[in-house]
Amino acid sequence: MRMLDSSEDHLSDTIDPEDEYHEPHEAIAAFEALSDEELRNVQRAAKVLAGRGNLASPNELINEAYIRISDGKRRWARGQSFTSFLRGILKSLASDKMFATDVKKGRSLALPLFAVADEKMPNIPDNQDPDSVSVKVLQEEFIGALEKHFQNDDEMQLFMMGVMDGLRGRELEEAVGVDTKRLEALRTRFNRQVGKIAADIRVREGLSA
Amino acid sequence: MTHPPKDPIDHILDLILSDDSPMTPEDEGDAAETRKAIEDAKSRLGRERLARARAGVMADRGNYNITDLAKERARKLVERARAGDEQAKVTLAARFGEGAMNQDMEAAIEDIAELLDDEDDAD
Repeated sequence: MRMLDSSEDHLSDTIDPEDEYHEPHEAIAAFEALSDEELRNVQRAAKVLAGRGNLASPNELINEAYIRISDGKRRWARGQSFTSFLRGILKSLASDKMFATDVKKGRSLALPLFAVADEKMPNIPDNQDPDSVSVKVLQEEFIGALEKHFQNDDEMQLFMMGVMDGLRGRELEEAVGVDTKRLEALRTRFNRQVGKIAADIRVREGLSA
Repeated sequence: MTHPPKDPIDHILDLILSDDSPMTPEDEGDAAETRKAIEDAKSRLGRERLARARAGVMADRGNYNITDLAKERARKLVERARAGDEQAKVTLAARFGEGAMNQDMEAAIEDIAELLDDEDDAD
C-alpha cells in the first residue's frame, strides 16, 4: 500500500479508501481456495488460540472468522497475505470478550452450567483493558504449556525462543546452532506437536478438543 | 494502515501458517475440520439470510398501505355478511376463503381490503 507524504496531500481526495481493501467476496474466494496444507495449518493455528481464557473451540473461531469476512466486518488489506489476515481475525476473536460471552451463552444452553469453573476464567482487574489482558493470558498459558512439553529438549527450546523472537531461515539456524536440514526437522516436529498440545490443554480444561 | 507489532504468539502462528510440508494421512483430520467449519459457516449465513428475508417480508406487510376505498368496500362486505346477506357470505367465502369471517372484524377488514387492492392492481 502506498503511503502519502505531505507533498502528496493533494492526491488524498482522489484515492478511494475502498481501494485499499479487497471486496468481501474476494476474501471469501481466497478462504475457499485454501489448499489442503493451508486448511491443516489454519486448524492448527486455531487450536493454539482456542480455549485460552475463552470458551470458543477451534472451529467456532474459524466459523466466526468466515462470517465476519463475508459480512464485510473484517476487511482484507491489499498487499497483505490472506493467512496473515486470517491470523489477525482468529487472534482477535480468541481475545474478544463479547464473542467469548456469546459462545459461553450458547454452551450454557447445551451443557450444565458448571461446565467451566469460575476459577479457570482469567481474573481481570477493573482498571485493565480486558482484551489486552486476555491476549496476555492466552500467550502466557500457551507458551507455558509449550515450554513444559519440551522442557527436556534443549534444541527445541532454542528453536521456540528463536521463533518467538521472530527469527527465520539462516538467523534461526544460527540461533539454534543447526543446519538447514535439521532446522526443517525441528520445524516439522514443532508443527505436528503444537496442535496436539493445544488439544490436550483443552481436554484437560474440560473443553471439547 | 499500520499493523500492530507482532508478539511471540504471532510468530508461532506465522510459523504454523507458513508450513509447506506435504500432507500426511495424519494431517487429513485437521484439514477436514477446517472444511467442516467453513461449511457450517455457509449454512449459518444461509439461515441468517433467510431469516432477514422473512423479516423484510413481514415488515413490508406491516407497511402495506391499504387504500381507504378498498377498506370501505371490505367493511361493507363484512357487515352485510354478518347481517345475514347470503350473497355477501358467498362472495367472502369464494374469494377470500371460509376462514375470512372467523377473524375479528378489524383484522378481517384489513385482510380483505388488502386483497381487494391487490385485485385492483392486477386489473
